[in-house]
Amino acid sequence: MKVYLAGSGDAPWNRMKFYDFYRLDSFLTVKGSEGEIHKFKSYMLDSGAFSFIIGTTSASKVDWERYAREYANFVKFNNIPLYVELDLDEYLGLDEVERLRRILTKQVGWSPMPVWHINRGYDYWLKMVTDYDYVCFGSFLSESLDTQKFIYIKQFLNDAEKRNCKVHGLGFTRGDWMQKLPFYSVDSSSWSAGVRFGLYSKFENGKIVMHKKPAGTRIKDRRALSMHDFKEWLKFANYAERYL
Amino acid sequence: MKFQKEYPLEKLTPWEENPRQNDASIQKLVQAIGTFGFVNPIIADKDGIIRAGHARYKAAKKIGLKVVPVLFADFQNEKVAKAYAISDNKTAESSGWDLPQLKSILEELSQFDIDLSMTAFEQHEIDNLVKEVDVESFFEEDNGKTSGKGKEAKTFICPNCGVQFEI
Repeated sequence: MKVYLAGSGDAPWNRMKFYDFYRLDSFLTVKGSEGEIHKFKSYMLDSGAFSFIIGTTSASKVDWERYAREYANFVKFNNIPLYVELDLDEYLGLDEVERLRRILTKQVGWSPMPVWHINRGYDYWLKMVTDYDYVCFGSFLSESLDTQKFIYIKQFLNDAEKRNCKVHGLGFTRGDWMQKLPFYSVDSSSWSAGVRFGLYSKFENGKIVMHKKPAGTRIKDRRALSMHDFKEWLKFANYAERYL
Repeated sequence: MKFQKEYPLEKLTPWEENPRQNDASIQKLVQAIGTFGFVNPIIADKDGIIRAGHARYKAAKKIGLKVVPVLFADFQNEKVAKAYAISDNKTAESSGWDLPQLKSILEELSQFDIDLSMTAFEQHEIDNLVKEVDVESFFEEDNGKTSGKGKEAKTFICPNCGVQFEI
């Protein structure tokens, strides 16, 4: 399993970028770092559309076609093979998401990775994994997982495997479930979040364990601690690529 | 022995029998030359046949350099030239590292935001060499400024990783 690391948090990017790892960036924040894109082990670009909505007052006032065209220009100009569609089903509806996907495909020259959300239904999933060779799975994964959801996801992954389609689990790095759900790839920015809550990461026995800071202390150097967490996650990513 | 600071690369001839396999080092040399310049001359015989520095020659070609520094050596004969070529590589193999000293220098350099891969070590080698991090060094005693004394701690569960923590 490939683990794409997103975000940088407090870690100094000008040190992180020297490491060889799978990188997921957002179109919203990548501008200015174009020179780094082809230095990573593999690179995936998310549209950033969801974050853009969070930062705007009304999604309906955004010119999404223009956003898609600018995104497409960037992807094409920088020759990025893996990029994610604008999966704004909740705000724009699936028809509009599909229209934007067609715009992206036509302008870039290769298709974006479609993202399955629960509103799209099971039949749509089957169509996605038949029509594409690499798709994203975007539901359930940030919620608490129960046995029923586990069975569903397992079925979805089986469907994809039968059709030779790779599946990327968006934002999915729960160690306890990663051992059991064979996504082709996943991504996480949570590696950089712990430092905000006084937690630090350690790669232990094939998984990341979050530790609380020692009692009665505070973080002295957030950059250094964040860089330490990044390196621990790199160990985990290397392990996941080899064994999960 | 004659040194030419800017000798046309196209006039040099690789030694056809060179037994040294060096393709794996070319990319690192490209980076090193880009960083430090071409500071280590190629050693050639009087006919311009390379006797030491084939990898540097390939890296220079890859970069597109037209001229490189060359040291022309006066070998007594072809046999001596061949022996030198082998000896140049072999003696480098015999060298080792003073690991504590190497660690110390890498640790010193790692304090700065510079690319340690300039040293030609892989990042994982650097990580292995530089001392094991003492996690406790990232923390200091909290004198009460940030502990929120008097406030009841709240417990949160991370929706992604499931870890429970208090803030």
